Amino acid sequence: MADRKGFTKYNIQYGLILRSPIGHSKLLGFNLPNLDKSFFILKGEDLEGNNSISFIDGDIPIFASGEIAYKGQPLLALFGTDFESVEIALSKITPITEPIDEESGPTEFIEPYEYSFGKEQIPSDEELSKMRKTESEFTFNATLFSNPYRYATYAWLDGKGITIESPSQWEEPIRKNVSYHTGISENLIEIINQKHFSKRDEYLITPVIFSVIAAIAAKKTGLPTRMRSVARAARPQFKIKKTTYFDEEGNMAFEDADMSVDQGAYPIAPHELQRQAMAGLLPLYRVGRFRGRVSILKSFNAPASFSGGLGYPEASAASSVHISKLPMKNTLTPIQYFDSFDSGSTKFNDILPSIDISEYQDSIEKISELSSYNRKWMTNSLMKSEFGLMGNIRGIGFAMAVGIAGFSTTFAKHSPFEAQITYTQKHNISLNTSGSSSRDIEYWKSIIENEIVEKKGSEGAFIFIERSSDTIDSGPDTLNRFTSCLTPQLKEAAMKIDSIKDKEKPPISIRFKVENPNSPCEFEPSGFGAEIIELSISEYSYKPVVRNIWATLNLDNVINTKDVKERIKRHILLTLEECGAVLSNTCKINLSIVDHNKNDGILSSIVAIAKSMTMGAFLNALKQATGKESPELPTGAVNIESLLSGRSNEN
Amino acid sequence: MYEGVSSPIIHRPKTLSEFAQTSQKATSPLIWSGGSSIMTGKNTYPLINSNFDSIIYLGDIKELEDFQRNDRIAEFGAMVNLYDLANYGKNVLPSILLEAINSIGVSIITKRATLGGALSIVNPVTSIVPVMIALNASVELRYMKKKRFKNHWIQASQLIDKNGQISIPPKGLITKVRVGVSDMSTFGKFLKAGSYNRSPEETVFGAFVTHVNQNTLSQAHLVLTFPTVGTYTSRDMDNIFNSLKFPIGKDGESSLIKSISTFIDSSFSILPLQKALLEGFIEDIVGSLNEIALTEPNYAKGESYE
Amino acid sequence: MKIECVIDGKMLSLNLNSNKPLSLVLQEDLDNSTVNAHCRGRLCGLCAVLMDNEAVLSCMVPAFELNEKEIRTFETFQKERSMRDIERAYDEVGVKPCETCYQSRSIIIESLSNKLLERPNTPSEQIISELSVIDCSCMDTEDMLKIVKRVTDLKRRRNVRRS
Repeated sequence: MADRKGFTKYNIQYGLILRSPIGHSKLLGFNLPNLDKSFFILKGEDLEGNNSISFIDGDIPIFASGEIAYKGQPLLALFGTDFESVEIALSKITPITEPIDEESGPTEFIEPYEYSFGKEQIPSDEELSKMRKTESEFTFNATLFSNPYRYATYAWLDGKGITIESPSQWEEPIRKNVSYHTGISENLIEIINQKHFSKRDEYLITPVIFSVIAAIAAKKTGLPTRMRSVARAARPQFKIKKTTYFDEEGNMAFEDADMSVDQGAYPIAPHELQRQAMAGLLPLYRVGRFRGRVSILKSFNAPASFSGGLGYPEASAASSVHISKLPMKNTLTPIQYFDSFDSGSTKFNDILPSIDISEYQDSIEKISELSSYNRKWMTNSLMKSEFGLMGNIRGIGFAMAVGIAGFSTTFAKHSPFEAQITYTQKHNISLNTSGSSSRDIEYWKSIIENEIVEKKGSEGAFIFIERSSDTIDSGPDTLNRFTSCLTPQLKEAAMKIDSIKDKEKPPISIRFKVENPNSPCEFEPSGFGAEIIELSISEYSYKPVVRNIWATLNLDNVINTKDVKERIKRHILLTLEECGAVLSNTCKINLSIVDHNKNDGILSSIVAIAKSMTMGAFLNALKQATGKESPELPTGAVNIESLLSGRSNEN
Repeated sequence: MYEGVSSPIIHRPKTLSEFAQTSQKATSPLIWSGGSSIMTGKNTYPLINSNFDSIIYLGDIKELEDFQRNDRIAEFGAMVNLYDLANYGKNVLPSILLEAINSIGVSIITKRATLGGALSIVNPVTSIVPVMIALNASVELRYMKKKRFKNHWIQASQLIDKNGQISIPPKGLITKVRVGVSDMSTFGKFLKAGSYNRSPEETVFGAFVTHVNQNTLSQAHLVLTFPTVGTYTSRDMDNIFNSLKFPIGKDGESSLIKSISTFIDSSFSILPLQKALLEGFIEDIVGSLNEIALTEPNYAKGESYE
Repeated sequence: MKIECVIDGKMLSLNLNSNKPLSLVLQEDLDNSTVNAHCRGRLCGLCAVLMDNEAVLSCMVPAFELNEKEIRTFETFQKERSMRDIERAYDEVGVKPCETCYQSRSIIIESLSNKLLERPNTPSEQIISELSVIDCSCMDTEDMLKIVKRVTDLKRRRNVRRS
């Protein structure tokens, strides 16, 4: 494998990006200072072919050209002999822009996705107008995450080929796009994937852009290139409105959910986002009829697609908040209300199979008791209604969520993402996949050993194929795909190998999709979680301070309880940080895990469950503490002060 | 290459007179004490749009690390770091100052942050500035005037210019800081709301110090710092406190808050959140002073509020 | 400016800009893979190293202060005995920092536990306050406290055994 041991800081060119300081406007050119020949600029018009990268189903421009779409969009790259000189020179380059007169808000990017199911018909408008209804609205504002972690992207020519070194959650787009822009054949492109930790899919799309820029620069000058970037990710803006209509007997006759997602300037995977979001909007209780609608908008904001999820956690959190609004009278807490009606299983539908929350009733009751949820909820509500703000700035919130992982069945049917298991001539097993993490490999090993009996416990029996241009593209490492989706598919393939290995001559290979393309529903539920959060608003800083957290997880299959506990705690805390919460000095996460030990169970998607239930519980607690119906996320001292003072538009 | 070509020259004087000679010769030096604020600035490295060509590092000047005290005052050299200040001065310094230092919290930072440095930054980044001003601390300022190195003791409040920024003469240096030792009759309240480094525009630092004589105040001093905006202190504002008789009711409190807000609004534009935090601070001060007034021994001798 | 110092056990003579932060020296000049953050003044706390056995934020240390200093980054620290104690504490408490802050947090825990050996009565609030320099909320406060106390305990026992 090529490495950069021969490089010194004297034979590398260093590159940085100039990002637009302003939003949507015309880009007429640049004011450039006098730069000596040790500098080299790369702009949109200098790129051969298209000035864009392709990613899944969309294109993202590498540099703005003619028009700046959003604040922070890359405008050009400057290369020089060291980062300091480049940084100083870059500070002297300014874009020449002109405002664009026709400013418009977000526009619809694709057709909205509408889905409805249920035994009953959708009531007419006249019927609906006579029914009692409960409405809730939620907004999750667009957020740009930037952590101070800097990473370097390297590109250097290696004979006829090129080597790219970068952290990446998915190498294949790097290979394809570098090949397209440099003309170097894909099998001559080597990718060294740097060790990375992606909290919010920071290493999914941006490394592709930087790799392409570095590769083009390396090819143009012949010099090894090093670029520097911080890890960035953007979350879309979500606006969700849910309305539940009750018939005369008080049953939930009809539920309507409307969600709009602003994916910024260059939406990626919008259809998949619609499906994921729809899964989150589905009620976890029986209704006569459900109708959902998910719209994808495009706007002049930073492109926002993957950010540790693809719309499901936000939709699911909104559903949890809606549940807490359903009790008509304050004599029942949301948990008591939910207990009080015999919800039964939800109806089987195209999105999710039937789910029966009553299976998890015991777990919910347990955390309810541990946290004294009912008593605290009642006390807080009473104090709020009697004394207004002066009385109480505490809140306790409950939420529950079902986990999903990976892409939908529709996506899987059309996607090329596969893996391959081979029983070799030497009676070993090899696995060819671009997906890996040391944790996942251990799971896969244990599954293969379980299924292919003769290999159990034998050393050297399992070979993991090293990365090369022959590695099968299994798709991006996101949405818990490799843990929760690839594993059951691998298990099935291993079972098939076991059944035929004695009948056929090796090598025997079975190629399979990462997600199951034959599933009757778009998603398989994997695991359930419920959470209670207690918080108060600090009178000194107006920040929401989380005092205690109780969470329970019901998982189909737990291989390493300690690992699962650690990960779920981490994702709970990360989600709280994203929501704008701070932790009190005595904050503790009381976590219990129930392993249902279903041997054919999928490894559950911890991330989706953690994010959904944490956001939902936090919102519910915040709602109670502020007395406002629909606080926005992320929140902060400024928002809360504005809410409490009545200056915001909140009801 | 940048390196070597643009590297600022480092001067490391060993005494104050060496500093004087060095600063006279240097064209535009950057005075460097602990460097915690300089190193955490956005455009510190590489230096973009700056005029500095050299650095004068004060860490080798032993005179600036001295600490002395008597029964009335404590005097610190400007290079004493905040961590040591809190340790040496534990039994000596006013509690409000110790509280302010502890609010910075992290020793990994307070060991590099110096007292002189904290008082010299144009836009204060710590709560030390309002507290020192409120405590009527004095500072020894040394600066070049007509090719001679002068030294002057001034009140810390004189460091603040009319725009609320700290203003020290060019090539000037704070060498010593004097503050009164802890005194039982002094009442002090400190506020730190927000996080300077993570959200400076939402942060407020405040300090209130006064002598309490039964139910009245004297020498009251309220100082407020809004990072990214400036520091506010005003005799008129202090006189309002001096004129009050405690306990005061809700109306009196509201009127006080309104007056203070008017003073602040006339000089600075601050966020509603910062105003709300300030209100909370005033309410806290009034609450404590009311409590003192109601529990003073004199009132137990037959006087009544009914 | 010529700087001579010991970094990760190697005696180095470096030609650096006098005011270059140590964090950038480690990242760019020495290609150290364990110091990757540079937050430009937000005090993220992710760049901690040991300078003369005490934890410092490397972004706050200018090159001119490095002369004759000994710097240990996580690259060497992870091989030391103290890191075994910290790993053991992570294991016993059942939680460890995320990959983003693992190195920095471990170094700060090391420095903090050494201080606690000298001042065993340090209140918990102060310990939590010291750890709050790291802008990463991957662990709750109770777990962090348990880890620090366990590390201190392990060090104390080892010191007792030695004496």
